Amino acid sequence: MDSSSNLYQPQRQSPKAVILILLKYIRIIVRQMWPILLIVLINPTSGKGIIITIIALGIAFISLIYSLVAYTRYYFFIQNNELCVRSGVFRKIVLNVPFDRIQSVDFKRNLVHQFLNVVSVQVDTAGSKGSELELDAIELERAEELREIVLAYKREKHVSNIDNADPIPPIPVVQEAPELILSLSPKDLIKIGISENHLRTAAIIFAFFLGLADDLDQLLGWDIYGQLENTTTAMSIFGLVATLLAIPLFIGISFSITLIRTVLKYYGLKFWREGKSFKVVSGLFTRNEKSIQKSKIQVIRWVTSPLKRIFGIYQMNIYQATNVDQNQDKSLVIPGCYQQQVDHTLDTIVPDFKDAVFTSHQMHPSIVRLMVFLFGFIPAVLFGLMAWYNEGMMQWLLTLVFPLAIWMGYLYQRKRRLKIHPDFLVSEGGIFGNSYKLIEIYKVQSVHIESSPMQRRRGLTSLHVFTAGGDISFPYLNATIARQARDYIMYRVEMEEKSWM
Amino acid sequence: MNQINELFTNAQIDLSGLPEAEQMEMIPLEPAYKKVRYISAALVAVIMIFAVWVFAFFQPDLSPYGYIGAGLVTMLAAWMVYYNGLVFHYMGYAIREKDITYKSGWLWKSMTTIPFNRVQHCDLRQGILDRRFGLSKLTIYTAGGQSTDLMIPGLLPDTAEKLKAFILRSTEQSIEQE
Repeated sequence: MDSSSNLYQPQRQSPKAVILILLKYIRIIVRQMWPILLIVLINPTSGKGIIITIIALGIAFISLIYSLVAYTRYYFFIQNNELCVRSGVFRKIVLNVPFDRIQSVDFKRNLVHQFLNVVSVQVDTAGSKGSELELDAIELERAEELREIVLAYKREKHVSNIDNADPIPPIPVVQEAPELILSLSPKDLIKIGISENHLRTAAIIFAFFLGLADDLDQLLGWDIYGQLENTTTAMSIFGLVATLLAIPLFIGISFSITLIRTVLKYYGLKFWREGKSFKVVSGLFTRNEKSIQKSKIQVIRWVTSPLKRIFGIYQMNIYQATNVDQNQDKSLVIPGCYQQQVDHTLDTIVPDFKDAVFTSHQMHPSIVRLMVFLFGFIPAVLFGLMAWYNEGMMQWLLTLVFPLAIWMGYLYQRKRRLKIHPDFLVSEGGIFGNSYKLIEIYKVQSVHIESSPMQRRRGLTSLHVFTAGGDISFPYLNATIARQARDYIMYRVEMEEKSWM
Repeated sequence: MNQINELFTNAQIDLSGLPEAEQMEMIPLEPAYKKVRYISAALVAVIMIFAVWVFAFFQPDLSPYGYIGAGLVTMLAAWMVYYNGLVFHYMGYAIREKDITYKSGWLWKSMTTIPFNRVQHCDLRQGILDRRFGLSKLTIYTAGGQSTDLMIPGLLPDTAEKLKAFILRSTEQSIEQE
């Protein structure tokens, strides 16, 4: 009993934490500076090498001091059913996490932890970044004690809640048989692979090669750009033919990479509903299984592109309440499904959505002018200047970005819609394709309104509505509508008795 | 174009009867915070100006355009300092029974509202300058992610502490009701 009261006193972590904190900094430093360190390793006796070694040792020494100070300034304790942490080397940081907000208390042990016989305690609050709390090194017994206090509090709370509720015992839950909503056949996978965004893959490949060229130049002095420039400026038949051949080759490579990636990643995908949760299982080599509880779903998004429309398929994402860092990991992705399956899923998650009558609001046309200016006019002027300066005939073609921006800006404005219903908010958009994003209003976390001088002159504002799994942003909305929407959403959230997750 | 000027066409509630966040009386921040803003902006500005002119000085054959550029950077930095102090007058917060609103910005105005029943937790921070001027920052976190966290700077530590206690209390109450 003696030791349990300890947790109510401000206390430091286990002294072993210093080692872990130090290791953390070293890891960060090494990750940031590995190219420099590599140079030192390759050629340690050069003048540069010695200077870098001295700097590196200096940084290591400072990090050691810093870890020691950070350790001595770090206190944690329990107070008024809150977990409190006081920390900060230069600034004072006080963090209180009420037990009510704690979703889980997990222990993590890597090799070092095991060696030192301590655990890292991770307190997840399903909140924003910075709200999750990590104690680097606590003795196992103490960590267990901490978890027990939190869990005991939760149990007590739960029991008292049940006592207050109706005297009727809860209806026994009937275990529903899992329902298979969707299963992707190899044929479906190929359709999905074909209709994926190949431009993105192409851009990634391109960026990868550019990065590689840059690294090689810096590390070994192979001037790939120079070589390329030489070949391209020599406007020979050979160069022209090479370019003409390279383009389809490049497209072909990106196409096959996307196709293979899609098949590997989504092979044998099955989308299930099991009672109150959804589950997606997929993958050829590594079988991934992800599931989301229905109550935790915050945002549903379904998208189609011109290619996908040919096959009549949508990509659907279901986002749940999560820490921002892990947003990608925790969303369910169904890369391809038909309209009917989208409707069915929506029907299961938000039954009232089907019959909801929406009022639709458009974006003010002046957004087109802004977009054309930013993405058309400015780049066109820069490209024009470049073409004029280099006297390159081909470079003049790049100024076509200006009419392109007008066209795309027009399409964007025409399709963008904010649809409001007393229970739902839907954002529609898409330049060539269509995208829909749906949130339930009572799950909103906060509303943000902002306006630039230009927007105010026309009576417009930008509206941002945030949930724990994503947001809806709608710039250039009528200011009165935006304000009314904000006031209504606030009213709705503040009156709502259902929990948002 | 058919511009709809109503939020809903099938409103079930009287929209004009809703409490309007726009009509709230905003509580200004502590005047000392204006100094903090000036000082921190000035520090950045001095570094910027210094770097630009050192660069110009060591470039013996700098074209007149270079000097014009350096001049522009200097003016920009000065304007930044002025703007940073000016926006102080446009910052403020308001508390209602069930939510808190923070407003800022002169040219680019923004306003964030967080209902108490969505608050995850709060923390108080003091930067070096804040400590020198006896101020605190209150940050309110929701589950909506980093971009929705609401930071109210320029509070007296006492006020900040009270505000934090009030918010946490309101949050607890609203959750118990649920």
